[in-house]
Amino acid sequence: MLRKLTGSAALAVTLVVGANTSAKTEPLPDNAAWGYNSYGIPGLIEMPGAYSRADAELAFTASRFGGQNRLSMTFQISERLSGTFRYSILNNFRTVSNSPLRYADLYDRSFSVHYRLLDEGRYRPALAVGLNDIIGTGAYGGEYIVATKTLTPRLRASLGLGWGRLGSEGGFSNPLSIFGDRFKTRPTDRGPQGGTFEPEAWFRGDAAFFGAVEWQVNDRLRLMAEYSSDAYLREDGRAFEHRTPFNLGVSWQANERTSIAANYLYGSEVGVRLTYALNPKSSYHGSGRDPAPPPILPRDNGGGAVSAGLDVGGGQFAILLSKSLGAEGLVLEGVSQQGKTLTIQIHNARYAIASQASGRAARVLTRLAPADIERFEIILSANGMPVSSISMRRGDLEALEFHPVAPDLLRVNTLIVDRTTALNPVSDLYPRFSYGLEPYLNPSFFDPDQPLRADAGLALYGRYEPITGFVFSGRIHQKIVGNLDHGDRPSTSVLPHVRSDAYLYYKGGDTTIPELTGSYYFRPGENTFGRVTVGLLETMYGGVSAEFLWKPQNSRLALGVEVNYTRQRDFDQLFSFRDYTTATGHASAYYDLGQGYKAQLDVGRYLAGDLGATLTLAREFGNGWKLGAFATKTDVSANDFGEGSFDKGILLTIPLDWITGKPDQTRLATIIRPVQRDGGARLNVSGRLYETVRSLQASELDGSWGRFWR
Amino acid sequence: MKPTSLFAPVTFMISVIWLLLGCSESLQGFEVEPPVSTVIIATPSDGVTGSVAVKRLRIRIPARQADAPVRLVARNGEAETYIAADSISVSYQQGVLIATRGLGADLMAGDASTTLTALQMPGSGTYSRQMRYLTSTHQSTWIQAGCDMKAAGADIRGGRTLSRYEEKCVARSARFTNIYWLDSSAAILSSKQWVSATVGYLESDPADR
Repeated sequence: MLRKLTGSAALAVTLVVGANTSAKTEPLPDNAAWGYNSYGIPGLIEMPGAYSRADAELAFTASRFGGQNRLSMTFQISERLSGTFRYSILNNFRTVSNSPLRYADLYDRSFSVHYRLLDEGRYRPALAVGLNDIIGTGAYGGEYIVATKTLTPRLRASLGLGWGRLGSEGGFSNPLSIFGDRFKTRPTDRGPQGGTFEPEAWFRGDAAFFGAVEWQVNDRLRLMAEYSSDAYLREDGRAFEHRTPFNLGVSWQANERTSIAANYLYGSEVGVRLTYALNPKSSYHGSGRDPAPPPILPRDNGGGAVSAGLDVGGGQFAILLSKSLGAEGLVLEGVSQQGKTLTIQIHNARYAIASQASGRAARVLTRLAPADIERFEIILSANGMPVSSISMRRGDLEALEFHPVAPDLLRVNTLIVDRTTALNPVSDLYPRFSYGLEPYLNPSFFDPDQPLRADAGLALYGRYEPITGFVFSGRIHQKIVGNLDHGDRPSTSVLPHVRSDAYLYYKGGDTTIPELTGSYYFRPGENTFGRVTVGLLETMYGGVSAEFLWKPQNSRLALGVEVNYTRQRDFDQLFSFRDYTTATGHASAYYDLGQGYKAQLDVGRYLAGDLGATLTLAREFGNGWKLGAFATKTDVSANDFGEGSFDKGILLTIPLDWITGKPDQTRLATIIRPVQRDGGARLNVSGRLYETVRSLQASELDGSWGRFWR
Repeated sequence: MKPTSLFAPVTFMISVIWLLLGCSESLQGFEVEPPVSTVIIATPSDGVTGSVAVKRLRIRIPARQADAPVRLVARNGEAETYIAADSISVSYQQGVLIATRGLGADLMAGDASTTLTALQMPGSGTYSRQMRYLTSTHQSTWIQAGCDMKAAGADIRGGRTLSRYEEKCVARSARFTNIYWLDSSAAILSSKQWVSATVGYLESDPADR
């Protein structure tokens, strides 16, 4: 024990002395961790450090050495807390820890958290605690506390204490055993299915010290040396030779987002690490490269002159207005005048942020509305259903166009309220028809035979709205290339195969109809919304879905109920069905925790007839980025559920305009599940109300109100 | 026991990033800014009153190697908004830049009054300027700069001798120097004004030069 501690301390001292002379360069502006380790945790080569990365950073790290292949996705959930999801392939892993004879490649999914307890002070180091592999198989199970001190602006040293895997090199009797003998031994059995929390193993068993030093030579180059407390007991000798606990590494920051590292590990292996780290809060395009909006036109410079003598209720004005709004990507659905107020109802077909859509509409109105109109009311609609009304003074728009605090000043006299009744549709609005052709990509992760498979092809989609609120829509997919149908893992599930027959659907056919539905959207009353959908609801189910949502304009809380009666579709995903039918539905509560953190609780009956609840926690950003995690526990036992024990996953939504800089409402949404089984499975119906209406309501409009003037 | 190549994990990694980011083309898009087109398309003229000949300027953004003619499309009080063919607009109040659109890190709005006063009395001390921007998460953010104006001789621009004024501004996160060239009637004829850290400076001259 003593020897090991001395070893790491001596290493730290040597590097401190050696590096001191060159540390007089410009200090780094940021007190964030300088990089990620091979597990995707803020740290050095293999060991963690006590710092965190910049708030909200999302990093993808790939690392490989000696048969240890790790891919991780790390999100800095808050300034102090980060979470990592990891997919690893461990070659020649000793599958039974006590037996030297059984080796296999292990395909492992694991989840880690890292929390910074203390910030660095003048003399006090930063302190962090971390848990590795908290709901996986336990192959990477290990906990740590680590302290890091910035010695010079470019030199940091860390010293930590590890348990589990991180207490295996030079381990000694657990110092926590002063709190009880139960800390002395670490339970090893994780249960047959993995995927469960095993807090009774945390911080148990032998502990060991680890230490590390990093030197940020310049803005791009970083040198690292560490003493690792991971002895690789189950890999040593077969996957690679563990000769020493010392690791050395060089990291190169290739550009703002990418860093690469070359490491020399455990006296025998050369390894590489690649990290791509982006921050949802910062796009290359800033707030977007939207084309300039039409300037405000005050009445004393010609605003409203074009409509002089036109009757607002008449068709001619609506045509003029419709054309100008259309140029801004807005669909005019209705127009009316009451006294000096002009009211329009619009559908935003272009902008990701509704406040921008209302700003563009308001600009158009200053140009076209007759000069005697003093107030504009803009009704925002979704699927023909009115959601919110925004009314503002025309004089404010004219006066504030170039004011440094225009958003706040305009908002003072702007009213945003619920709106339940639609305006009479303009004459040529219905029937409305649109269609398009786009590429699609359908990936599948984590099949041990082939961790990544995908199909790609063309999607033809169409949408038909005969009258207000009725929407018929469908998609046809034509696969062009792909290998999803190569999967051949028959379901072993003891539950009804509500999701686990996915591979049969992949083999079902190259031309499929993933969705073909008719929907009706309506406002039952104030603050409430309704939806009924009938048809081929999703790739695997058809039937009827009905939903009711209560969502007041400025409420943090929203409540909803959804009831579905569905029948399983045939594998060819055309018009035939299988025998399995089920009633499924949920009561949902949505709560805005503030600062962009959102919670959702769904309680109800799932596709396999199991009863339970899903808790979803997510962080959302004003630009549409969303990262979250969910877990579902139902009355299906861990054994019946199978691998993973219960359903869980990670949600990721990326707004396309963040990438392209062009106005676009497309959001790329992915759910990453370690395993998809039959327990806790939900129906995927389109057009769910909460996501449909909330972006048009006051709380979201206010959160991005500065974009009104964009 | 199956040999695992680096291929599978790396392909996975790249694919995930590719998937998440839509397509590689858009990733590269930010590096090559399309140069501002020099072709004028018809813009709505209902913003410009009367029979005055349409005012044109030539603007340049050195950091983007952009160079475009713009034409006056609207007046609001003393503010004039000019638009370029590819939907970039710039707004000036008596020659002082007060807004841009279509450039990305746009100046959402700025106050010109203190600068205009300082141009009449250069060297009379520090004054403040307030400029509004939007962040990547669509929040308003402001730069509050302390500025000093000084007369800096005369330059010959476009065959005319113009008085040169330099406005040095310092803010917490930025430091910039604007240059104004005034004619004999004290009107700003040409200028080089800072937009934002990302966009850099915007130069403007009369188009008929």
